[in-house]
This record gives sequence, structure tokens and C-alpha cells, in this order.
Amino acid sequence: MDDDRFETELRALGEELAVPEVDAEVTATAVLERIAATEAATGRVAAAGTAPTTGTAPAAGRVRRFPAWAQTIAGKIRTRWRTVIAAVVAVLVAGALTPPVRATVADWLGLGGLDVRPGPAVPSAPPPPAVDGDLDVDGAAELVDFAPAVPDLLGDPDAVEVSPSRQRLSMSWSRPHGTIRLDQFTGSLAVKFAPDPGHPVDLGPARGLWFADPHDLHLYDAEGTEAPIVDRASGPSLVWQVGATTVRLEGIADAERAAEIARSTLDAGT
Amino acid sequence: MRGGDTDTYAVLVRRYAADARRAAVVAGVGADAEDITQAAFVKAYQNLTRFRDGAAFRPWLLRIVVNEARNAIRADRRRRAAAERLAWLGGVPADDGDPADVAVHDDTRSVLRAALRELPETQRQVVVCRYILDLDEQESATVLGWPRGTVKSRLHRALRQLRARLDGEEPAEREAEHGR
Repeated sequence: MDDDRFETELRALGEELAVPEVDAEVTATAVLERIAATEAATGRVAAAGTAPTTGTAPAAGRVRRFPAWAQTIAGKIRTRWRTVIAAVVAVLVAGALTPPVRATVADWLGLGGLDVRPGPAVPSAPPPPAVDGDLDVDGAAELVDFAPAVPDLLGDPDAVEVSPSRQRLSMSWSRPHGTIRLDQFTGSLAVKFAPDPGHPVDLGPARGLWFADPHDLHLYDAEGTEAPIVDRASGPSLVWQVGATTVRLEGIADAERAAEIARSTLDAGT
Repeated sequence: MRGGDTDTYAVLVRRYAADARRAAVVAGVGADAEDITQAAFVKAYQNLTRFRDGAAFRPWLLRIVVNEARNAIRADRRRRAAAERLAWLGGVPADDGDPADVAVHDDTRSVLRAALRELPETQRQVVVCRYILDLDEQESATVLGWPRGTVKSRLHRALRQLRARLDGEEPAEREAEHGR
């Protein structure tokens, strides 16, 4: 049996796995309630305004606002009311998340096929490399299975290329102050190691994330490949999502200008 | 209070709930998989500040799921003797069921399934991580808490064992591996 067939058979075992359907919404609600219950038991909700952000404070320092008798009574309250109370407490807890925790959570969210992870600040980044390809936009569009975003504001790109996996299409414009580069791809092909999780930008029909500080960028040729094909410092960049396609604009230092360019791709109906 | 903040952690839970549940089932806590999944998310939340810079969230979470599952199984050892034996194969059907059902799959898969059940535990774990949970080498290392080189070598040995079984050869390494 050849290696491919062997691996296929192994993966087929995974497909046989009997996992009950997951209702992620139910899980999310239950998790928030359980967090709320735990936090309430240790009095951290009540103390949230002054709560330590590292979670390393000695347990003795926590005020127990919910004595045992109160919990016993709470336990006797009918389930329906317990649920309501837990939901209210969950909202309170979520609202009281300390900023570092909130930032850490946001770090992991990313956008579309972009994964954002906490990483060191990079002192500076050169302009992005120009694209090396002799395709035009229409020719490149035929090779990928998404409609590429083309920013009206920048005019025709100087060069367009498609990655060997055909999952990524890149274009660039040479300008006196440096190169402007637009990468767009399907699948999870990009990771940013950034000191901050990105600032939400309203692009009308799309939601964007603006990364103001230079950071490390990994781009993968295809999903699942181990080594990134690009590993370099990236300057400020704007990322947004159109359907299943993630779009990344680099080489524009001004957030508002970058947003205008992004909007000009969305106006064009892509 | 801004609405966006209240939902932040919930977004993360929604995104990874299915992966977490799958890992819990595989780790052998079938009926309690949802409970273990929720407990793992709570634990992850409480340990957010210990999360390492530059790490990926999913394997870190799955490691917590797997540890929670292991603890649950250990805490209830007698009733769960079966679960312990089958840990890391939970949810993968055995072949002792309905013969008609077995006949549906081809022989190769039945042999493979049986061979997987007979692997030493560590080898079984690494095969399950790579092929049944579809994690890459680095993610498997995080979930199992082993160095990456160990993942590589144990996987190599496990695959050789499985192939030997499929090709009808004597599994040469079985004795040596049982001691670990």
C-alpha cells in the first residue's frame, strides 16, 4: 500500500468518529455561566473594579462576598431563576474583564484567514517587496477561485502574481515613496505576530483591522504547510474580509487613506 | 459597558467548541464530552494570563481538554475502567459490532482500526492527534506535552507498526514498546 493510501485510510478513521452535533451557542452560554459562578464564589465580580490583572494575588486577599449560607439558599432557588441570575452575572463578569485579558482574547481572534498572535514590537519595517509576475488582473483572476478585490483608487497594478497553490493572489504598485502591496487569499494563510491586536475599522459592508505598528508577518503558500513562504517584518497594514477571501493592504502609512483604498475595492462590487 | 466586550470570550468559545468536543470524545469521555469541554473553556479562561506569547490558542485549549478528560477518567476509575482502556479511541467504532456494519467497510480499515487499538498508549496518542484530530506536528507536541522530536519518533514507530500489521508482517517492535 502506498503512503497516500495509508494516510487516507488513517484519516478515514477520523471521519468515522462519532461526535455528537455541537451547538456552539449553547456551549458559549454555559461557559459564561460557569465562569460567572466561579468568579462569584471567589468574590472577584464584586471586587472587579480593583481586581489584580495578573491573577497572582494571594487567595486570602480576595473578599468572599457570597458566604456559604447564601450559596445554600441560592442552590434552592428554582432552576429557572438560577439560570436568569447566572446569565445576569455572566454579563457582569464579561463586562468586567480586565483590559489585558480582553486584549489577549482579541489577539487570538484575527480576521478571516489571518491569525493574530501576541508578538514583540518590531522597530521598523521596510516597504513591502514588489510583486514579481507578468500576469494582468484578468489573467490572474482566472487562476484563482475568488473574485479579486481591485482598488479603483490605485488604478491598474504594476504587477500581479498567483501563488503556486493558487490560493493567494498578490498585486503591487510602485510609488515614489515605496511599494504598495495587496495580498488576497482563501484559507488560513497569514499569521501576524503583533504587539497589539489591531484596531477595528468600519469599511461599510466589511469589518477591517488596522495594524499601526510594525510587526512580524508569516505567509503560507497553502493551508497546512509547515514552513511559511514569507517571514518578514511588515509595516502598518489593513486587513479585511470579503466572503471567504481575506485581503491585506500594506505600504500605506495612514489608516484613513488605507481605509479609503479598501472601500474603493468594495464599491467596485467585488 | 460596551456590548462588544461582553461577548469577547464567547466568540472564542463558539469558534473552538467543535474542536474541543472532538478532542474530549477522542480522549474517552464520550457521554461527558460537553461537560468536559465547558470545564476546559472555564479553565482556559482562568489561565489566560499564563498563555505564552506567540503561541496558538487551539492546541493550548485542546491540551486542557485532554487533561480534563484524563482527570475525569481517573477520578472515577472503577466505573470507567472501560473508558481508560479505550482512552484516545473514544468514538472510533470497534469492530465487534454488527457484522453487516463491519462488512460495509473494507478489510483494510478494520485491520487498521484493530491495529490502532493494540498500539502502546503513547504511539496511539500521537497517531490520534495527527490523523484523527488532524493536528500538525507542532500542535500535537503542544497537546501531548512532549518535545517535538518525541512526537516525530513515536509517530514514526507507530506508523511502522501499523503498516507492518496491514502488510501482514509480525509487529517486530511490540515487546520493546510495551515497557514504556
